[in-house]
Amino acid sequence: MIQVLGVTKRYGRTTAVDDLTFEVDAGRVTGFLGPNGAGKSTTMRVIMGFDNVDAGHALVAGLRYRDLDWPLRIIGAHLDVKAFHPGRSAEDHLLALAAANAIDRSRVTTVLDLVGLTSVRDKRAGRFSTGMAQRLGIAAALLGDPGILLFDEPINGLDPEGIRWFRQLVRGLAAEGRTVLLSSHLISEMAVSADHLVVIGRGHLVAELSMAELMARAPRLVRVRTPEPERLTGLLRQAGMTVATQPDASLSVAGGTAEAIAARAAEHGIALHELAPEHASLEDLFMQLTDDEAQFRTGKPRSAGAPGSMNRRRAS
Amino acid sequence: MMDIAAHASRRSDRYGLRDVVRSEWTKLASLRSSRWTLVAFALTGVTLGVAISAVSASLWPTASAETRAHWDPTNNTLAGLIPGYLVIPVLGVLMMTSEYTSGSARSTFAAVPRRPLVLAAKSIVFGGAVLATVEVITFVTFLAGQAVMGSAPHATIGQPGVLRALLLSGAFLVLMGLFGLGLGVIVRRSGAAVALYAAIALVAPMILSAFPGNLWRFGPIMILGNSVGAVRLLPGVLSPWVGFGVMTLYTVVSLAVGAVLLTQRDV
Repeated sequence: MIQVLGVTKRYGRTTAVDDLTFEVDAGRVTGFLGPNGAGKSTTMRVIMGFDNVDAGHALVAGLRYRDLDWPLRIIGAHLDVKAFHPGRSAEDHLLALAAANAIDRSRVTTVLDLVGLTSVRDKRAGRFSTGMAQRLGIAAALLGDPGILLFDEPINGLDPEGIRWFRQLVRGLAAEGRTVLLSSHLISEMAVSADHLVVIGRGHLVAELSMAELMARAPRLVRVRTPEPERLTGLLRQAGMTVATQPDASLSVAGGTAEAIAARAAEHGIALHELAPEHASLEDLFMQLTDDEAQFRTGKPRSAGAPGSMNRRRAS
Repeated sequence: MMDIAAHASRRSDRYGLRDVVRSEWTKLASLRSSRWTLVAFALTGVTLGVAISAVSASLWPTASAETRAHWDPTNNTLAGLIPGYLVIPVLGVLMMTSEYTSGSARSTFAAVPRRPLVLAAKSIVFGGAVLATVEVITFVTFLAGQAVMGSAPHATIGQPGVLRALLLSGAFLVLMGLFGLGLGVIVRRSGAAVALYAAIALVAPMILSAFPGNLWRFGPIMILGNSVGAVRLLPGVLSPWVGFGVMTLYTVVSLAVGAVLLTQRDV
């Protein structure tokens, strides 16, 4: 388990993380979501003991990072794409890390195999592509067979096969009972990888909820195509539904099920060419969530407009 | 979820200096650049020491009485260490700055969050490697250098002060390397740390020589060339052991400041 307790971290006059508190539980993948600059990486560095805090503290398995007996056997992290010397081979990089925590050499072979770098184990890691560097970082995180794992934007630079592999990997790690914290600025990635979400913006906690809860908040939309869109629109509005006409002349209907729409159309003899339930885009959902939560939490609108701010209004 | 069997083999219940030394040794031994730098230094050092010994001995027959009075054949052969004035401290700087410039510092401090342990382990591993290399250079150069002295007076290891000069010169270069290591921790950028070393070791003594009080003799390179590496001391220089003590002090300050900053700063 990871506990972030009232952590505040400033860099000069910039407050990167502001009184942030949340917990990451074992046995599931927790997505750490927020736009660029929200404080995700800073929080992860604080958990790892790389950055000193201005207030609060972070605990890993109940201890501060610096008090861990064998850190790599407790927690593995892959925060930076390149956290190795370019002149050293992948194998030597891992052997040096293994030695520092008295991890058996056989683990180096195991994790190289696991991430698919066995064939380039003795090549200088400086020549690795971004995807291979990511795999080496993931291997280093898994080296000590730790019960807690941190990954910061791990799929950047991975090819589609690599992304699929990584998703299965983190799912498997969580299924084994491990604690997995996975950061991303892409909610679509979270939708496939994470069970639970910790959402932050501008260093504040915005929401903590399960992926299912987030999806439940999504407005249910039904996409309808018909040769008589004006007539159907009128009928559906009479029934209390909200109807928007899309650029391709299809209708996007909220506030009614596909069954209700079909019944209404049948009643009036209107032909339907398509009737498909769909979700609002995850990105829209994310923006809505962060807007609501930001207002709810502060009770007043924040000063608007910083790039990447989660509080910006959508033009509407 | 955790592999219990793997954990049963723990020697003690916490990582310690021994583990970190093994890790740092793996790092040093696996970098071709540091290995080849030390080999190149050894080859040029021996060649240079023998050449300078031969050249200065060839001047002996025509040398002035004053030159003959200060004749120090041990010091002549130790000229083979001159490339080390630059190479060893720069390697020391890079031991640390390469961790920061490459990003491997994060991996290192994730494994060893008690950061001064990393500095201690690097000092042991790097110091040991440098000591071995430099003492080989020193003794090979001394023996070969004395063999090419021709008609000029030779030195032998049994003469007073000779063994001291040979052993202490090697150890002095280790201190210079560790001094560089400390600067690398303090400054963290290769270029800036090397420039700082050059300012302290090369530029400052030249400036200080303009002032009264023989302050130049406290410069690291001056101490090595004139005190620690000399058997016949010129007037005004520090005695070998005082000079060695002064360099030890510089090194301890550099590493201690580095250790404090290492703990306080973000990685």
